[in-house]
Amino acid sequence: MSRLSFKGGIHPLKEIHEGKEATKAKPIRALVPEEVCIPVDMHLGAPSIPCVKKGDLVKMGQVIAEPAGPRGIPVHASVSGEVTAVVPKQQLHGKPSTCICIRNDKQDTWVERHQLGSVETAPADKIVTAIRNAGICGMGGACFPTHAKMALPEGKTVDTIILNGSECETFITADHRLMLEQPERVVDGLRASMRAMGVLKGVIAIEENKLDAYEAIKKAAAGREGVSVALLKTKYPQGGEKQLIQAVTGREVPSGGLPMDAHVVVLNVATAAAITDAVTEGKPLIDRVTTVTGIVNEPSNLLVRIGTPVSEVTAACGGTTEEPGKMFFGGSMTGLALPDDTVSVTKANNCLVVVNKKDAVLQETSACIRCSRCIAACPIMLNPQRLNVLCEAGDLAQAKKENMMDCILCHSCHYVCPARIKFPFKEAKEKIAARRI
Amino acid sequence: MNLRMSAGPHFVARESTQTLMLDVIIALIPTVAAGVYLFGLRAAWVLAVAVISAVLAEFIWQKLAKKSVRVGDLSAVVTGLILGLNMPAEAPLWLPAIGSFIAILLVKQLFGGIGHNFMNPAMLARGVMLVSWPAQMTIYTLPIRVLGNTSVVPSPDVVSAATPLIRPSAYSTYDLLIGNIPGTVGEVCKLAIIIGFLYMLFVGTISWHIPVTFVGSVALLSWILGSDPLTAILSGGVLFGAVFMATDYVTNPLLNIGHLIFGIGCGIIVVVIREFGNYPEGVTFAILLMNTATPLIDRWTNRRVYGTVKKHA
Amino acid sequence: MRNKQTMRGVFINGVLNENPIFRLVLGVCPTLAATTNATNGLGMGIAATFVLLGSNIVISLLRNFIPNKVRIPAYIVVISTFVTVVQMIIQAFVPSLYDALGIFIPLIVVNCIILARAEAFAGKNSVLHSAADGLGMGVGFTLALILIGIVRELVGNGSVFGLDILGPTFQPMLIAIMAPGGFIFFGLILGIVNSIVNKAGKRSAGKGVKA
Repeated sequence: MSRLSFKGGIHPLKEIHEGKEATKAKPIRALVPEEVCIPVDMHLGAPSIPCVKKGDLVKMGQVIAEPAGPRGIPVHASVSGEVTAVVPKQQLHGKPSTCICIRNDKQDTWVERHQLGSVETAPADKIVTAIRNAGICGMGGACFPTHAKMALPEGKTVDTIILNGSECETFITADHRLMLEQPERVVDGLRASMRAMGVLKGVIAIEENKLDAYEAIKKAAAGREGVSVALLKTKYPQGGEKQLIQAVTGREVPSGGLPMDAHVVVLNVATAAAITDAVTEGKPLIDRVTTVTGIVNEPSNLLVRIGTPVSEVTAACGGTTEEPGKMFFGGSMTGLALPDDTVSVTKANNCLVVVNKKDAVLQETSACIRCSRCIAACPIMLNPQRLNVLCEAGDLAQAKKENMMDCILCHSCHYVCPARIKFPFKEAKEKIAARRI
Repeated sequence: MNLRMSAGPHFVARESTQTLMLDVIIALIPTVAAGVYLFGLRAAWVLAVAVISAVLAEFIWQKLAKKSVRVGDLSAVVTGLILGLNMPAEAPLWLPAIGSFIAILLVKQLFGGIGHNFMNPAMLARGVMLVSWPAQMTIYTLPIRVLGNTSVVPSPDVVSAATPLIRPSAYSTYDLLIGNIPGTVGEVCKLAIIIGFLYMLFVGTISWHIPVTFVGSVALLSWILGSDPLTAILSGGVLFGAVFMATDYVTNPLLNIGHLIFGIGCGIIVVVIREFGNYPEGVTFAILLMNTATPLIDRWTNRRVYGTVKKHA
Repeated sequence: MRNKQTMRGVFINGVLNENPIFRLVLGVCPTLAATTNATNGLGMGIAATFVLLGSNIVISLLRNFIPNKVRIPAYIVVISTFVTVVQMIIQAFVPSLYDALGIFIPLIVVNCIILARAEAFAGKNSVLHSAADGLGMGVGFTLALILIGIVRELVGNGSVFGLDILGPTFQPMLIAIMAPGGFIFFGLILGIVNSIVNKAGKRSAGKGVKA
């Protein structure tokens, strides 16, 4: 069987099967929270504007924050109950986010929902609106509003939609379980997106470490118009948009461009499942599958309501086996560290990893020995060694000339570095962007 | 709850500078064993003095310069070991000691320590010693024991003998391969070097580019100039240099295309020195010259960045 | 400003603070070539000192007559005159030194120190000050050459000024008296001298005493 791939890349945590062993066989189970605190700025772009106040009774799926601007999306109540607070609360990083906290009455009383019917018969022109009204954004981590991704600027064309089921990041099995247990939802979501955008070709790309999911999706996709399934090599960052497009279509996104410049739109499989719900049931995005693993007693794949605090998530997994030293959302390569366990699960959080004190210790950096492992690892064909020298010397103008801005911050260079160099590319890119060097 | 905040990656590869150096040491074990078997206890002494002096020099410098002592990264051990393997077994014992101090202090630490030396420390130290003490550095004797069925007569006494580079006809291909020849401790047993090469290739310490192009270009060029290519690569230090010294990360280019240029450059210089120069062997100077060319090669080579059109370098 | 300096100050300045080899790093070419042993270093130093002294004096005397546009050729003419004199004297009286230094005697003409002092000092200052500067620079140059020569000769030959010091058991490090050794030892001595001077400078600055 041919396996598609891209140039460069690494195989992180190969010795422990990417950390996925603990949860890959665990069926998705639902978690009912006592209280949720839903941030209004989960998606990329301007935060939504709260439209409920303390003491209001809200139903499940009710809009609790209105979109700001045409690219914004609404936020929905993920439980029914009473609004206990609308307050700023520290989330992952930066300034505290406005959060709407709702105590769950566990009645799950739904608001009235408007469905469009089957994904094959729903009016194509109404699908994008339904996606926006359902508050859907990229669920692979970036959380870019999906309707904005589908609205192509004048002159751009797209001929392929790729569903990203590669899940190349370590520890995560959420998409794996979703594809295995509910393949129809995923394929339906792809069909809905293809019809909405008038695209004839759809590809669902899955890494070969999820062969069971590949078979399930293949079965569900059989006979569906324009849909094919691609098997990818297990490699990081296979799920990076640029790498995925190169692996599946052989095209390259031009430097500084977007996937649509290669005539492709990439959606996450979880996003596709949410699109299906929005079209066929009129159900907004109020829950998602999240893998919880690491030093918890029962590593699980949980169906978590958006806004559930991390403390309730870890408690649902039987607590931790020892005192945690670090927690992060996402996989170990690009995951974001949590300041504490009061942080809420958002639409983007596909994984929560709890790490013990010992593994949380940062390793000391020593001098570069020019082993060129970072160069072999870079999926963008950059020269991280040289860029690191330029960043240390403060010569950001030269770094920009040497394609610094094409770095996708996949941290492959950092992962493989035997000298444990902490390549400062995020800061460098931010500085270059801010100063317009 | 006290959680550590840090950017990803939250786990890194197990490979560290120390494990890389350890892999090189493991790869050198067959060569060390063969050298000690062939040349006896003297060879072991030379190696021991070289390693101990190298580690000592590194430790003393880092203490004196008030730097953090990083002897644990094993790079000084590798330098000392390679230096010792580059010496004849009958070298007076002050020679490896001085050589290690030159390698660590002059070549490595004065330029800023690990990662900052622009030439391979062991290689330059050997070069300095070869120029300074030519007599002591070229006491090539017959092995005191031989391996396998051969016409070479081992000699327990110190008997100087011409190396295969000076008298190519004196030894069979088998002798050249197995090491029943006079030479430095590490260079004689080609079989052990090849085992080490395969080990490093297998665990991914080095890539094939430099050793293969280095040895390949020596063979090709020798053949063009009318010598037997097999004898050319099995005589002298070509194999040892190509596998263990030209592949030193710090002093060779970064990109694979650079590695190819580096290997071919080394091969050409070796053959030119052997055929036209005053020295019978040119591996040391070939690698040193290409070390100095490394920044230039790095500047001239680049690869096409994803999503960009081909750049003219 | 320089005119306010004392003659002694100018002289000391040339020997120590602005030592041409260790502080200005001028005239590296003859330094590398003529320091294979202490005797050669001394010979080259004396020859260069003589030329420096003579050319500084003459150029200072003529400084108001030499048109600015052709000053460099004029300086060179003066300098080469003295070099020719030195060359003939050495050839006549110390032929062994003449053989040892060879091409580097005529090359004193283009020694950076001499042209630099002509341009930077003698062309702007009085005769006496220029003489002091030439002598100071020359002595500083000579001392530096002797220091490097002693070290290289000792390590590379086991002797100093031709006298065997380390005995027959010493195995000389031949590279020290060869060209690459010239670079290595010059670099090492340069580094050591400067680190000592910098430390001394810090100490005296700490005490508030002007160096």
